[in-house]
Amino acid sequence: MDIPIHVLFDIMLKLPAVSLVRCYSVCSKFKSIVSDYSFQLSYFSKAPISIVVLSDRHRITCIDSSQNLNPIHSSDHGSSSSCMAMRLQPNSNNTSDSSSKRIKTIHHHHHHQQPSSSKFVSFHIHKRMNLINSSNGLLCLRGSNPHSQSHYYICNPLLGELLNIPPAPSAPDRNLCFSAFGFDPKTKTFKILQLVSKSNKLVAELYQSPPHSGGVKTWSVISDVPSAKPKPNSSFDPSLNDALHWVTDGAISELIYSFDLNSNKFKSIPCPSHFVDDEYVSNISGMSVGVLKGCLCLCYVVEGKRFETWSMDKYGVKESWRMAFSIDIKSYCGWSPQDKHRPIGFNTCGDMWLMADSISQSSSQCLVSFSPETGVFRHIDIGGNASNIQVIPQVLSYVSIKHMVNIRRKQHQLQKLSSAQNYALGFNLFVLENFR
Amino acid sequence: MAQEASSSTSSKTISLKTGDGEIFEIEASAAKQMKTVQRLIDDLGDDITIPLHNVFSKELPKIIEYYKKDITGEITKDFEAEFVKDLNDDEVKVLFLAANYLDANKLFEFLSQNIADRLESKSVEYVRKYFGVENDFTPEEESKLREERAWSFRGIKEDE
Repeated sequence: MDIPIHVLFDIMLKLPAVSLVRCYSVCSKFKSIVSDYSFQLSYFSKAPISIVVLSDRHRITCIDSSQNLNPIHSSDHGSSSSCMAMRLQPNSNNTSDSSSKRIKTIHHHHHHQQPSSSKFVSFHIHKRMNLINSSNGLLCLRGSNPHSQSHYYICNPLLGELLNIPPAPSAPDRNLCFSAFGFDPKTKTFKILQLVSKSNKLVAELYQSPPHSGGVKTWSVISDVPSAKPKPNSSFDPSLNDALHWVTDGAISELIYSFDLNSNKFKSIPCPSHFVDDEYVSNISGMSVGVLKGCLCLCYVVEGKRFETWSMDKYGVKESWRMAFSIDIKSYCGWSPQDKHRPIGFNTCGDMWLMADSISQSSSQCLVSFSPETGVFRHIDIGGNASNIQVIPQVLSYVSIKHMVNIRRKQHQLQKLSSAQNYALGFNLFVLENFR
Repeated sequence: MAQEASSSTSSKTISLKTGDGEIFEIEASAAKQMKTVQRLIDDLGDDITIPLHNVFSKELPKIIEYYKKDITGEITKDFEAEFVKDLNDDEVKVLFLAANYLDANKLFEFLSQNIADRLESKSVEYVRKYFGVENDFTPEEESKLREERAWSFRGIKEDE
């Protein structure tokens, strides 16, 4: 072989997840590289962020976003992104004057499709689910059944694997305020936190997956829970730095809360300094936290006019909050923020994905990407029945759950999902047949 | 294709000699980006022609072209796309190995990404040939591996 191993390692780290799956079959050297633990850790820390879509609560689709969804490589690319994009006046942080509301509508006709290059994978799940969040290559789902206990599942949506978790002690859907999961690839363990409202008090229940050395732990109750109640839908990407984050309805000092997955303790995160008083906060709506380029970020709408995204460049340091970008809402006609247009996540380049009401079809949602650099919004057509979709950002993992996580037979069962036929229009989903 | 040392420039130029005996000039600031070259300069002095046994006259001009642009801060996505546009997969590999030998980090990162992009949807057989590896699985092992991951083999480009 004329390429030294460490160099081969470097090339392989840049391959997309699906190609890495194929690498197992090249030769034993390749197989040992992709199976190597430190290769996997490096891969997960550098892999680009893709999207997972749960449609109609039971069909889960991975969309590898490396090329297709990046709006910077826009215009004539034969990408499968969609029909209409709007260009904003290039954004500046100065207040834009109302005369600069020039909007150009760019129509992209459906170009000749690229040869299908394995970027989309779809599976059926046999029960109705909700997406919770993703963390370091794995996805957490919750069975959607208002009358029973909470059943959580861990999923690898690229390989179609689903792991059952023993049910949580409480919470039919209506009492659930917040739930999130964090996965630590170094220790191969994960934790699921759920905050439940019981008799008007907040109760925290935590699931910890078995440690390597034995000991069977399932759900436990965490004490010292903050009293401030989590705001619904306030965390589009909660997992960062071994902690989970959300927004509460409490005082400014408690607006952003976190749960440290190493110490199992709650802690508040300081808000940006310009959050001075309750009056300022009362003019803000749609506040949510997530992750932007590896930093905690805060998104919200000011006075119904301006959407802002702030990034906490140094985790936990109040002074390090910096405005990443803002959008003057009036210059994107028809866009009303808050519930209708929620951020879903940011890709590796810092472009924002959001859910929006479809312009062409009412009561239907669509996925939109926004590039802060160019000010371009791009409507991403994901086809099929678009009226009931949940979307989250995800790093795709080519590694099976059984190698990523320590599994205990008594607690967990690993299932294989059946592949889904793609009848969706307009998007380059490819069909899986005879999977396994 | 020896190039003439330009006496009009004020910055220092270094002479490099390829494995097949040709001499090229680069600016000292470009040489700094190639750690192997810099180490040789530190050992041998900058007045001597630096021998590069493993780099040849086909690749070195291209590498020099890249770093000329790098010094002036003009490397853009468009430039990089142009740079590799007319190279076939094997030519990129040779250039890449030269960048590795020269310890030229920026070019190395760029070319390794380009190779990964080119190989992304190629078949397993193509990848084996490209890296010069043998299929050392038994037929049973290989068919088991493929079967377990059959879905990932769809949508692969036909080998050229």
